[in-house]
Amino acid sequence: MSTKYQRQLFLGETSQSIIEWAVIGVVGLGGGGSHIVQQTAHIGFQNYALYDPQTAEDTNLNRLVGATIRDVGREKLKISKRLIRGLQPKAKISANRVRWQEAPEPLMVCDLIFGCADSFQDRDELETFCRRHLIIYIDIGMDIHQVDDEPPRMAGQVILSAPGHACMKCLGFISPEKLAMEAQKYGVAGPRPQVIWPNGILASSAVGLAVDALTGWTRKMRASIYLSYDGNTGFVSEHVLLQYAPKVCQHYPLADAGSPQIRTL
Amino acid sequence: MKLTLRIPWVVLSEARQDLVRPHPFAYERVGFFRCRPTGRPDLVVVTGYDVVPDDHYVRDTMAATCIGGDAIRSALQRVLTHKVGQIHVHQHEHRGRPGPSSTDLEDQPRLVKSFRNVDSELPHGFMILSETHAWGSFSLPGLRRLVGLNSISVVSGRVEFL
Repeated sequence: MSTKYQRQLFLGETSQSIIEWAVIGVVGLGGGGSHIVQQTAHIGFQNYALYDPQTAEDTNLNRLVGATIRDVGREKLKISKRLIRGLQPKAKISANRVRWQEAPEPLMVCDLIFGCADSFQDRDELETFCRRHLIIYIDIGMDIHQVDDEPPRMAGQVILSAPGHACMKCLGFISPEKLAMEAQKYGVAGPRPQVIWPNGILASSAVGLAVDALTGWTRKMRASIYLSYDGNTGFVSEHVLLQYAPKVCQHYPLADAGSPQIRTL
Repeated sequence: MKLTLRIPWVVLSEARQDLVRPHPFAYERVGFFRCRPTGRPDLVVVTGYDVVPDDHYVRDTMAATCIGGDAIRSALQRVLTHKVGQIHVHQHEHRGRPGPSSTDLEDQPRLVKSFRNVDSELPHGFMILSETHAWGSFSLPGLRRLVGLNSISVVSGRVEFL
């Protein structure tokens, strides 16, 4: 028997076979997604659906895990595939150089999807897709704000959105107001500040949740999870809004899962 | 082709709690999962569970359990009214892989055909749960023969594979 994964045997007797069987999706292979791809490959995941239409630019090199200066101009997909293949040569990778909405079929078979999107709109659409297909969705993201003369504030989130349980709207992370505000600013935002270490913390937390969701090693029956990251103090803690979230999601009733249907009124 | 079925943990729990209840005269209970198709023909999601009321069972010396016309009509009506596929389900009280009896294999495909006659664009089927595994046979849109299960994922904040 291979000793490759003996240090993670505490995850459970069948954990490695579950990890090797599971299909994971990663939407967005930039600062967050590249960390996730690297870690999941180390853990032993073998089945991937990857999405990113972009190529690496020199401005990505401060945070794109796996990229070197030779990769400027290379597809982010190829960098991620190289990262995975270096650890898992037999991995099955569905690599999609499109926005996920243009070719969603490989995502449908995923057991769990990581969303590393930049906008609330993208997150909202991805969560809706996951709810429709009864897939666990794990969202990560970070932002840096500057207010007056205060030091910059770095904050981020990791949300595990479990079908039937509180969604990102229930948790107050996505709201019509935020979506509307984002739509008004579309195209004028400019490049947002991004650095590697908060992405690493958020991605590590997300991968930890994913492994727990698949192996159940903590033996907790989890509902949705909302973790908040304060980059100025370094703390990751349960978001205060989680305690007020409804037990059952009203935005995405389980009865609405599956292909959309027209209902007669 | 084999089917991947996803079931919300809360729906499976509801079904299991119902199926283990003793019945006044039937040896085991049956129920129906509601299901819906997805964008992939080999992926079906379960969206709910319907109990078969006590008085919809009929006495039958040839089978451990027999449900009557009212139970079948209710299931057929759900297909028509709610546009949901129907999966007939019962549970064997043991661990490990369950299997169908000869009666199951004879009767259930006829029931599935009845569902299909109401709406052939929806998936339908019959399945047997054990405490740890499941067995199933399904009719999918566009396919004439019944297909087996590839996997069942039970989804909540966790994913468990039956």
